[in-house]
Amino acid sequence: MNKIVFCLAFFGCLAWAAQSQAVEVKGQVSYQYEGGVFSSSPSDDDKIEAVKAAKLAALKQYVASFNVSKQQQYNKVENEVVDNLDDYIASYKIVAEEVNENLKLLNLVIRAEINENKINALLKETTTAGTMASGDGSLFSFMFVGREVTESKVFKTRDTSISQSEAEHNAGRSVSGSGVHESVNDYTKTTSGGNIVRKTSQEKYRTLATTDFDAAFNEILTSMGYETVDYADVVSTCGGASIDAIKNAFSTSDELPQPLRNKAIKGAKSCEVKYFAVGYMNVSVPELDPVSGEQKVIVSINGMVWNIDKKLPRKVASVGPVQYFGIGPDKDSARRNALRLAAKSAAETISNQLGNKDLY
Amino acid sequence: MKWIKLLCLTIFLSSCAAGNVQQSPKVTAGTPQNVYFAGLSFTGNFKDNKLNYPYSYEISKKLPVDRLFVEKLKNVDNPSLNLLTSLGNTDEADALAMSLSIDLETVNIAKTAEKYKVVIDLYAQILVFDFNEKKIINSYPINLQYITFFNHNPSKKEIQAIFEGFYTGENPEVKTNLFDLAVEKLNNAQIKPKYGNRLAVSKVVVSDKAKKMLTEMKQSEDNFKTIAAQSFSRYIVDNQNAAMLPYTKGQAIGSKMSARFVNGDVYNLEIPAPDYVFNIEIRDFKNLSDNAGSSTTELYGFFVYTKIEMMQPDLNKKYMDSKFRGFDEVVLMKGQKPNFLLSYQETLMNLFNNFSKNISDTDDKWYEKTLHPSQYDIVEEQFEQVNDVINSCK
Repeated sequence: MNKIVFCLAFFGCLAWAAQSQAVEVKGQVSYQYEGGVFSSSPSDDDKIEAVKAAKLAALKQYVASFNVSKQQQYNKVENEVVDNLDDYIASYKIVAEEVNENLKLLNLVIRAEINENKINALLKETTTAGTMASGDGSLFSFMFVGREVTESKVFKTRDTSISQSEAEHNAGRSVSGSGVHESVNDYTKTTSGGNIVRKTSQEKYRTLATTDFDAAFNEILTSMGYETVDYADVVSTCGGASIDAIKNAFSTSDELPQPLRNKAIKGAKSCEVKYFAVGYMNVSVPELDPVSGEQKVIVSINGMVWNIDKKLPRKVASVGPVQYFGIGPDKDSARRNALRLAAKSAAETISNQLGNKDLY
Repeated sequence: MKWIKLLCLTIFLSSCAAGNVQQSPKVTAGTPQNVYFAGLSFTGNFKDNKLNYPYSYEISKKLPVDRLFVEKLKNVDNPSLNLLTSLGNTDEADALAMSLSIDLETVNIAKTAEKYKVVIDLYAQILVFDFNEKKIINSYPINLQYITFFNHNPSKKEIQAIFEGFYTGENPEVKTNLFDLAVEKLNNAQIKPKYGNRLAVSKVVVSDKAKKMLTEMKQSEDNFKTIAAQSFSRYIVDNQNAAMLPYTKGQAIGSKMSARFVNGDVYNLEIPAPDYVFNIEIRDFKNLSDNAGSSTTELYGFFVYTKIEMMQPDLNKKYMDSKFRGFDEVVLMKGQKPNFLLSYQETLMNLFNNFSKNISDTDDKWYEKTLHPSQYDIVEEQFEQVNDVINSCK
């Protein structure tokens, strides 16, 4: 224990592997070693310890990329990961090593591949929802409205100028050798001011199909142990605010009117839904991406989750406003890609927040 | 003490290259690596298409370039490589793909005494990437240079015909074919799913003095940087057989490279952060002329002053940091003006070519021509360290 890792620096670039879910992270460590009896170089044991410290540095770098709620979830299992480091680091490679024999310092850089699937599986186990058998999870219903601006009314600034003129009379008297002179001057003094009024623009939207969003959102929530229910099924079975009414409300406003929200929650509650999420996504008009030459669509998502189990609905999670962009050879695929990305990220954020509070 | 340190470094780097990787190597003797041909592509931003490769881009829209290349790829003769020209089955976990990517083309026309000298350069590279992860693994830079003379100032149509010849091989005047060069590269390539350490040219810096000269020679600084970095990489790959990641101008480490394929696909290829980098500084260009007592000829000397650095960016540890002077001379007819830009570029290429050879094979004559005598020992020692690092990148 007298070997001290006195400077643990970590850094690097996260490389996300889409399919294999191995995340590549660099880890750097400055490890103070003892050295052997006859040697000032690090021993094999020193090197083993330094590699372990570098792996930990890589892991910390990886965890730093988590959002706040996922980090909080990770904190609960950190010891398990650290104690079994090699189970979570699929492989590593020493990239560079530098020995300072005077200071007995071993500087080490490694490239580690972290098994993201395994970490995610462990995080899932920390939540009650994640360990529930299929069919036992809480019912989760959601309604996110996708909308695209069709009309934007921009108001000109109202510029009000006020000016006031005052006439002033200035009289003077001077005495010189040739006599007394009297003079009178007239001045006009103008004071100006005013104000500028700017009014926010008014947008009208058309609503868009969100099948891809719904599918991706469902996939994440289901994998986290929640039982998702289509809001359409809730309305048809238990009543509540109609889908069209919610869509219409979001096509002119960013907020759901109180009576409509109450109606939707009431319907969901009657169907024993425990968590109900409502929100909207602003979908940009497709534009040419100057880098790829393909179509680019930006989606901004904003939503709220309520626990409607008890008498009063309680806000338990929220997402956004946060933007995602999708690129595709045509505007439809660009939009689909952006919606899928937004859905995946939003569902992960929500499930992390719920998991962190151990809501299931 | 010095040799002990070098020995330690060698042992350490050898262990990096082999011992510490926990995965088993995919390529074994007698097991050719499957590589799928993903098509011809263009790198860089879409909006710069007409700026970076106006002729090639036009040709890609007009001619079946992918089909022409696939025909040529049948000539690839490399027992370690199984090139598949259909992307029908890419569900292998480690499927590798290959693209011939066009980076830049330049056309230089200079009036000589009686004729117009036309120098065309096409810069491309074979990009090898993990098809599933869309992550670049290795690159093989290619430079096709074609020099010809016209009696008149050539029209765009005539230049276009030369470029078409690069792709079709059907222009009897143009003997060089881009696809043949690519096949030649592939014949000598050792393509693997994983290499040792990652190496790249990270930065090319042009000093204010050199910038001024480039402006006078009507050369864009960005293009010059790309040419310098790509040429440097090419010589390291060719002469040292090391794996190199592509240079991406003005982009951060661990950046993305947009590759737009002729078939319409667009991939944002990830370029992983290099473990070791070369930084190149172009410090100055100079020239001298002397008739050396001749009444008919004039001798021109071209000098390119550079500084080359190799470092490990995480430890900020330098393995090389030295100044090199490139020098070439050319004899011209009296009154004939040299093409300064091309002469400097050629001098730089020669410098890079010899630099890469000297990493593993010291050439005393080149030292005398390129270095100050006080630097011989220092540079030799630095080359030894660079050699060890490069061996860890194979």
